Amino acid sequence: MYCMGGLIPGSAIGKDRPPDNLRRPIPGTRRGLGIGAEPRRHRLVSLAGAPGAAVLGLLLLVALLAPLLRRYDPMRMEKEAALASPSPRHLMGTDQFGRDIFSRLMWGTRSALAIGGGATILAALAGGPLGLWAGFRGGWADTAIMRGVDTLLAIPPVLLAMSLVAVIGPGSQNAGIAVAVVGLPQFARIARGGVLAQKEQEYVQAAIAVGARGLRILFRAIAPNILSPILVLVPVMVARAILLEASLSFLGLGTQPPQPSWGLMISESREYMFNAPWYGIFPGVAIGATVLSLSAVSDRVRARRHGG
Amino acid sequence: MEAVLTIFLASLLVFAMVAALPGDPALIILGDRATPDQLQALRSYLGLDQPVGKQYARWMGRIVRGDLGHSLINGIPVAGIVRRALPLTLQLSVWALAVALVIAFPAGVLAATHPRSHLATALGWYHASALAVPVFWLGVVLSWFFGVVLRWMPPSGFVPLLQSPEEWARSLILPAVTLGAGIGSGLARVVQASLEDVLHQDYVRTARAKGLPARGVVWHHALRNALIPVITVLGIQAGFFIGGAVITEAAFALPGLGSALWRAILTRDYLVVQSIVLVSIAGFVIINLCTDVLYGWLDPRIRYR
Repeated sequence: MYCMGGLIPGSAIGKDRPPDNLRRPIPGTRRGLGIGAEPRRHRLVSLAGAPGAAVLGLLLLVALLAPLLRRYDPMRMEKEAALASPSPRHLMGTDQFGRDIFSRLMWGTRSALAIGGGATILAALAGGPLGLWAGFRGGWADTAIMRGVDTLLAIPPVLLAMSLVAVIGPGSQNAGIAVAVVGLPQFARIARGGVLAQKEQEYVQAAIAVGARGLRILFRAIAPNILSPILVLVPVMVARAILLEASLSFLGLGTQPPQPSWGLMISESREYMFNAPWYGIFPGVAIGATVLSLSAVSDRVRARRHGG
Repeated sequence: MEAVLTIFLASLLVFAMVAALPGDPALIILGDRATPDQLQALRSYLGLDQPVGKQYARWMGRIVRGDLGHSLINGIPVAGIVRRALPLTLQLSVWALAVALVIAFPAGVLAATHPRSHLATALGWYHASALAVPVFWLGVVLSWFFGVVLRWMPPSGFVPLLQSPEEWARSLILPAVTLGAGIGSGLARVVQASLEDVLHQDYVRTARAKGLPARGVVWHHALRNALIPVITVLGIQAGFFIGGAVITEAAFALPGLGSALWRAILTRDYLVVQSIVLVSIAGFVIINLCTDVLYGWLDPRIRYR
């Protein structure tokens, strides 16, 4: 529950946790008070930490080396081999134009990681400083910025991204921008919370005492100290960005054909469900593996930070 | 008050999206082939010759009176589009919510009461995959497996209730599972965590100590108090619900509000997009308001200022 604490402003959730000695199982028994002993909640993720990092590394490698690894040009059409089933020649079969699905999947890794990562960096670069400034200045600046941020949060993510794309037009780059706007509030909130917590610390008073002022305090003294909670947020945000971008592409609002993209491949595969069910399966597995590996890495980083 | 302010700010944002279209909005909206008369008509309809503040006031005034504007493609009133599409979206939501609750309670309670069992591990995997699997892919796979391979349900499309109740149910089951499975996982984790916390309270220990069976304590005493956070999270999840509904409707070709929005975006029907987005945001804010009120009513210890 405590993981939700920061998510729900002003709610009672996450407080009132019983002291740890009550949560531990009674020695010699497996179940403590008989019901609901401390669960090994992190077992799955902590075990998944190392493989998660390995999978993520593999995906990055594929994304970087896609041009070297490929056996076929992802755009090359081969009409006579359309919708071929998986075989040693085409490991994952071919699509409706006879393009090699495996090659397109590798190319999709490239664009998914690039858009997901790029959108997250953009969100952090825009949202982080906004939150820093809001927390540091307080008063009117704080109220105005955080009102705007809360308004963005009040719009369901998919809806916000879709309406932004409606205005700026479809395409992979614009989808990335829309995804970045959706992620921006998270970074702003974390940064602001960090500043508010650090502002009263003694070292900030010390910096003021030696004559530092304004932006110098913010960027030289405070910012380095709140970098780590912001960085912890990154893997989760990349995972969300990849999911959201895939959704946009699925709806035809993100990456446009003939470019390879996981969401678009799933969307196109629907027409050939009868003849080529594998066509849509593989890109989904790729998305799932990417998101899982990112969240496993994120959980691991988080656990480290809390001394786990 | 908070809710009204949020809707107001969101409406500003939605208005600004179209008002900020670079160049002449009328030209962008209607395209190059519009006649000067059409352009002039749209300009005066949008009030483009007036100051921005006045444009917003006029737009908002019309919406408050229930006039959501007209589609620029075929002239259909947007209020009519919403009225026709909304029932389907609500039906889908109710079904999906039912699926989510049916998953969440047993899964959450069992995981909390049997923390070290194989079942808890299996549920952990379910949560992990619910996190990772995109809604639309689940929809595609379910519709392939149950619609094409097993032929139990139609792979896509919708049959109205009045036409054939049986076909209606069959056409909604797969979309409901698609949308409900992910939300069910989120809710199950909240039920589990909340129940775990409650199970360590003194009154639960007292109930156990005086000899009440574990099952009775869990289902009768603990779950009731564990319910309260679940309600709040349900309100927060409503955002994912709305987004998920848009994607699910697109994946299963259901003619709901999400499909209407999607079509409007693809055809660049800006005024329809504007109105549907605003209606959805208002719906989301109102749902959250309701859960907040419900929260205070269920737990009198919580009072709002």
